[in-house]
Amino acid sequence: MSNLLQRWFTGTHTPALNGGLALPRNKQGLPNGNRIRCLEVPSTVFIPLTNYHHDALHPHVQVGDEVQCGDALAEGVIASVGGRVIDIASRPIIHPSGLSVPCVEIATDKSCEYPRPVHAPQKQLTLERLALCGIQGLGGAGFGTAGKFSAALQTHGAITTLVINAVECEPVISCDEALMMTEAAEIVDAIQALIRMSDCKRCLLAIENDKDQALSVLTTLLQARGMEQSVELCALSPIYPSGAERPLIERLTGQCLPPGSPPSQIGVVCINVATALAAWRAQQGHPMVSRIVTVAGEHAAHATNVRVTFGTTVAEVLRQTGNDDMAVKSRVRAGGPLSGFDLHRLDVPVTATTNCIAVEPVRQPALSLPCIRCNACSDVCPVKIMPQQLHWFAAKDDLQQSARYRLMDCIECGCCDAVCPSSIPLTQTFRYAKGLHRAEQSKQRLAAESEERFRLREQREAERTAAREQKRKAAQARLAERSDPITDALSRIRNRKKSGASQQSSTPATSSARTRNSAGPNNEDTPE
Amino acid sequence: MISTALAILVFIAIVAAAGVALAWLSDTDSTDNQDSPDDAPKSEQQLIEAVNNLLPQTQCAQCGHPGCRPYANAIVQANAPINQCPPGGDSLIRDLASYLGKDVIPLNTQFGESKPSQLALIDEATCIGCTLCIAACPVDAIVGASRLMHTVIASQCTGCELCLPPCPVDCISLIPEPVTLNRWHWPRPA
Repeated sequence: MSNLLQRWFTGTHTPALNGGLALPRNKQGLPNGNRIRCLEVPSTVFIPLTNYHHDALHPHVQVGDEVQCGDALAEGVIASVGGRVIDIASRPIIHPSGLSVPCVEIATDKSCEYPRPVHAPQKQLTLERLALCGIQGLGGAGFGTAGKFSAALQTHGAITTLVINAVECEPVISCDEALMMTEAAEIVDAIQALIRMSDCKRCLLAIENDKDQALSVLTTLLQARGMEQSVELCALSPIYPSGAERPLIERLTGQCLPPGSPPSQIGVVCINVATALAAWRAQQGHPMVSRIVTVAGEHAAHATNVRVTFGTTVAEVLRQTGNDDMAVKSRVRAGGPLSGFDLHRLDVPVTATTNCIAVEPVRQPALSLPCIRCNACSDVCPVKIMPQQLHWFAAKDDLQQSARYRLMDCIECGCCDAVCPSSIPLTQTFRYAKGLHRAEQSKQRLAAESEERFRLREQREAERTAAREQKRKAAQARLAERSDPITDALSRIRNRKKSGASQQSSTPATSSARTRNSAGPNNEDTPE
Repeated sequence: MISTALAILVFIAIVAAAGVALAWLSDTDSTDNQDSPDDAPKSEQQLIEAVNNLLPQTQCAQCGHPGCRPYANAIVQANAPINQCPPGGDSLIRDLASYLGKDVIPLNTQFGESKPSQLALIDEATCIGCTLCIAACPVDAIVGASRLMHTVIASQCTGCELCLPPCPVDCISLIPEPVTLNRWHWPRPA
């Protein structure tokens, strides 16, 4: 009801976010008129051989191979620099688990070909080009961009709405804002190229209304290009987590996303503004080899936004930005203060999903107290689940009840944690229960597959046994038909003896021998 | 007087309408309940199917039956004890007990101990390519050919241990299932 009234009275067409938090923005290190600094490419880079689904990928290169910038190292993984492959070994990557995955280690030849285009420029952007240039989401999840478009085309038939997500709602992170302040003209070109490629009916550019400079530059540019009709600029109030994909799409399009299904189901493609720019660069022939990373946090000596080549280690980024001294006695996080996680070590390579490196003071986790049923978590939940109820079931591993309380709809934004007066680790519990749910599902899938293979094997064995049995029976029958030479000889001798004894009854004796022969191996005389 | 009578009549009409509506609603409600799977009586085949779905499908035959479905058959038809499946362990016994309305009993260790999930690993240098393990694997998770090296398809191995006894050179070992990125999940908060 409040949404409806707001729409009537303010004339905006975007309903407010359900719940959410108005957090202090704390955006540091914005460029303020300068260009964004590109960090030096280190002497070695590490490219993890994994993808959005965390599959282990088979490398297309061997140790000792020379690679060019933009070459495919594995399916969907490209080399961010040119040089020689000196090792393919397991290394820790930026992941909350701290686990290791195989990484390609490339010794950089300093003639890095960026920004010279690697591929020929295109007149019209294609999905093949996006895949070739290794374009993946720079918003945080790292889903393949070509995959998003083709999924929408496959499941919905057409792309109805293209959402360019420039809502960077989490405190501290400012890489997208820095990009919009410095490269707005290219972003507008990128949006134009993507509209032409996707042939979408509607294009929405979502941005927060407190990003004054970026907003004004983009508005002016869109008007100057005559694109204010084709691109709807949606200025949203800066509430965390306005930029989360699912709630954002539901607010902007007014359509409800079915639980568990991606936005492509309703023909919506939502891409980050930095990804859009990378797609446009791909059209010009540049593979995606770097991204802007915010280096900030309470303990950061020099908060800044820098362009980092993929495969540069976090330690190297901190060193080049002058934050390495502070990092020693602080806790370094990947991602923002709410959705990020602590890094176990600093020699992990930056990838497309690393939007922020935060240097934060070491804090003891707050002591968790019992729930006082204040309902504050429910009020701030942007996806309208009831964390205080769900928590009981999730903590007790009750997956069935958790599913009824919409565990899998949780976007892990951390709003409930931020408001809980008892400091209950709600988001962490939901992450745990979601992991348990996925593990259970994959166990069931494996069980179903094993059963199917077992059934097929049984069937095959049964067929083989039946065939063998049939063969045996056929052989037996053949044996039965064939007259046995020994029996023949014996009966001949017997006949001869009989004929010798009584000459006159020779004819009946021969006939009886013949009948005996035809009886075959079952005959009592046969020494079978 | 007339207005009073009218009022009473209107009142009766409302009550009657409400009564009819309630009766209709409760009717539809009860049919809904009958459709729900929990209340419907189950045929033996459905029961076997459900029990089979609860079993871990390792096809290890440790329960004494030649596979999981035969054990499901035995549980439903021959009233076999529900504590004979070591891979399923205590959680399976709980699930079976609650589904079949039986008592929770401890795992019968005669049939084996419950172990964490494991994978078979062939030492490829020692393997002589005899194909005996391929024949023994109940889920076709070993590939190879005669006199050529064999290997286990890790994603399809159920860790049933049935390949161990036939191996003439003892080149198969069981390793705990490694934690990979797509198998990892967040730990329970402390």
